[in-house]
Amino acid sequence: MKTVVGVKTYAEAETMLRLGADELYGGLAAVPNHRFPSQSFQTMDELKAAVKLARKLGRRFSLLVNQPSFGARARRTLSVAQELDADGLGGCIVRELPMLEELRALKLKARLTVSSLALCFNLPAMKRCRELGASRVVLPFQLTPGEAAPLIKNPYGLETEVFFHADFCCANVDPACRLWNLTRRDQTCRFPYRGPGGASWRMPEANAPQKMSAVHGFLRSGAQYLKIIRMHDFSEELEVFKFARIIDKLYAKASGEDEFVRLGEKLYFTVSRHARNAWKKR
Amino acid sequence: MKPEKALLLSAPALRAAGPRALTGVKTLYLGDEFCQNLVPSTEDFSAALGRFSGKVVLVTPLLTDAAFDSVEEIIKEHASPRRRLEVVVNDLGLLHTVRKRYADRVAVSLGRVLGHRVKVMPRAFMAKFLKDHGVRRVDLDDPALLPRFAGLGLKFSFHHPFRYLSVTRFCPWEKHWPAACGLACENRVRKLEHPRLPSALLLKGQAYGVRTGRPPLSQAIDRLVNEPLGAAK
Repeated sequence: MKTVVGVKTYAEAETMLRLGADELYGGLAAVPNHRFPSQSFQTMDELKAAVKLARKLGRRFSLLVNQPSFGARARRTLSVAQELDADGLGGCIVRELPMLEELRALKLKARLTVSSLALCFNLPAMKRCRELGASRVVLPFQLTPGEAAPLIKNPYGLETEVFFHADFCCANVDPACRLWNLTRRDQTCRFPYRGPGGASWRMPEANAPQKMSAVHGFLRSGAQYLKIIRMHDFSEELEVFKFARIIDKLYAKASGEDEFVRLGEKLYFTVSRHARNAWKKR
Repeated sequence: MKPEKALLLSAPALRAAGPRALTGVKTLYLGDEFCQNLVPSTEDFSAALGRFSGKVVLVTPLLTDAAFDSVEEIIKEHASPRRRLEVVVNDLGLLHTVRKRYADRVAVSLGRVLGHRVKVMPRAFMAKFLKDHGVRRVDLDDPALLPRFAGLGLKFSFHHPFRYLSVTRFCPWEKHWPAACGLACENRVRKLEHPRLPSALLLKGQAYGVRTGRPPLSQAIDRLVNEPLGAAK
């Protein structure tokens, strides 16, 4: 399975390519994308250099265009995509239909990937993406391997990417989540709530074995690309990337799903501890 | 003109509802916008038509392929050019399929989840998108969205007293992905509190939201959809 890794600086891009990342993706702070500006490239020059480096090494760099943008910002987004396209941009990761249509009309060499945030849940939605010029779809976090299998094996020639669930999985359907509007706080979904009778209550998400089982299911279904998300702390992302590489080997070696889940869970907790420490620091 | 009264129930909730539950109700919304395990079967839909003399609207959430097939079965069985079926659509694949295959027998209402995606489209694109997909009605639960869709010749159904804020596919009641469902959420609402919240969060099925007050007075709203919350605990 090939890895698609998020980066936010030239140095990160260089490191990930040296470590064997098959593809990279990233955003530009000035172009709306689904993370804080601090998780994107700060300047066009640095982003361009990363695109050129990936190109030189025969790998693909995709630009994130996965947040709605209007008017002048939308025009800026399109001009950035065009400029990078001339330097060998590999793809654009798009969320909204208007932007998908606009990018398609530009007839870029860069391929169009439909973001997981577009919530492509079924084959008719996949077919529509193909009609709109996409060549790849990132499957939403919230699909189970069984539900994703027909999409991975779709008859429309669309490539599919899945997130590396072992590391992270948004419990709620992220583009349909507006909890932030209520508290103006990130991660409202991870607040320690009080439920009936004052009992502590958290919005549930898959536990480690369930996550490992999902990874196994995606690998078994033949998912071609594994996506590693961008992180504030690059050392944390490096750990996750290495973990993903081990998991790929573990899949080849393990006698079955049970063994894969058992061994993967042990590995997972190393990463999970790191993630918890990182969270406390924020 | 007074808005018509509608009631939203899932098929299990309709089965459990007493004989007076539908009194005064003009339109029954059957299904759920947030959980595909609550997509009614064709039998459920037939039973609802048998029990209720008014209009029955099919309510659908985001759909995986298995649930998609169930929705299509209902459309095939219960919709015709002479008796158009109103369907609340939250899935882009379903919206597209309805346009391609069932435009003459389905009246599309834009669901609350999909509505939040459409609202961010540039105005001219949105108008064309809604027209192309035969959308004549929008389901809302937030009055702030009314101006976004105003002036496009749309009708509005307003849901109360629950405004959805988030939706999950990892069942908060049974702690699993949407596989075998034990309907543990049926007739239950859980109240969740945190000092940072301006008001309690409610968990209803697979959706998190808040309790809202009286629906807004607006000429554009011609239907009020009651979403019973029961006694929130």
